[in-house]
Amino acid sequence: MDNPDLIAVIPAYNEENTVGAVIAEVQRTCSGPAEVRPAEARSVEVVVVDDGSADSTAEAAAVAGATVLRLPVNLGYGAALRLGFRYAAGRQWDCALVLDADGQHIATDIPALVAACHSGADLVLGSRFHPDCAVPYPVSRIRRAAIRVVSRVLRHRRGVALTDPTSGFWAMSRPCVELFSRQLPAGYLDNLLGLSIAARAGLAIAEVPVTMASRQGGQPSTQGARLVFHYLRTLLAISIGGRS
Amino acid sequence: MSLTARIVSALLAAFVVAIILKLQRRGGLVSKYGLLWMATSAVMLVMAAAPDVVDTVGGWLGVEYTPSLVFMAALGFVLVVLVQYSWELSRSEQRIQILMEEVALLRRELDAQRKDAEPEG
Repeated sequence: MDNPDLIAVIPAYNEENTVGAVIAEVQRTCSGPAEVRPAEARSVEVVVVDDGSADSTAEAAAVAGATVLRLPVNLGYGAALRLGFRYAAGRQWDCALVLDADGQHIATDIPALVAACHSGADLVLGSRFHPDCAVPYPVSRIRRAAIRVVSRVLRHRRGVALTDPTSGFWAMSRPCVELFSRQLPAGYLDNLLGLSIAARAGLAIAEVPVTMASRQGGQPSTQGARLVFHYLRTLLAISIGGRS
Repeated sequence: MSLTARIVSALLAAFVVAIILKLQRRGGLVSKYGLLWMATSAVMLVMAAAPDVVDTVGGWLGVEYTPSLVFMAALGFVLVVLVQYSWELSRSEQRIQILMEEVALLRRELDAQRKDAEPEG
């Protein structure tokens, strides 16, 4: 596809059951009737980064019409994102998106994210906990507490006030994508470090309310002690800088 | 130090030397690490063969209980080596990631070109 208006990066690890539907949903929203699609958008390139899946995620994505980038081994969420951004940095587009392959992010929220991006933000996050959300998204108490701590650290250390910094539903300007394509670290939760990196680079970060579906397939990628470890690791990197 | 203790420690040091030599010869060690561990085992061998050396060095430094000097030096050495390994490992991970990105992008490029080269229908 030549010069799409939007490019949507979808990192996927073993998501063969949901990735096809997610791609179709994004295509329908972004290039559909004018009243639902983002302003001026006529075409969207969906880029699925298959992070070393053992199932047929890549085939399912290709059938659904996505550009597929396959990592030969599983490198983690941050690495998959960075590869997607590297690809996107070499293309022409107006606004770049990131969303999950498991169907948690609802494509009809895309126009709101793109609109915020068009009105000057370099990085727009879809927030599940925004004050304007009709119904706050239910998460476990531990996760909620961890998100609060991260929010606080980001606000104090980096001057970014966000209600849902762990959100993986983003819209981005070109400077933001180019920055991340070089500097985003590789691990789980490293999208949080992305916020830190973007804030330090002086990019404008904004938040819009989104609704989030409960996941349609798969398991939360990380739980329990591992989740705690990843939060501690990420907090360290946010508060004193450096790599994750 | 008793004769038995000297013999045991000399044997241990010789064993380490033998392992390092074998690894180096089979190409299991990059030469910089080979050199590092050869030097380490040489120091161990010297200390086993002539334990008085430790007392002499301890005397120069004004250490009263010289065996603690050996422990401190060994611990410090191990710490430095481990930190260096962590650094090197981090760098390797970065490089592998970049390599993987490159592979994924090239594969995509190749697929696209093959598709273009295919005759229609």
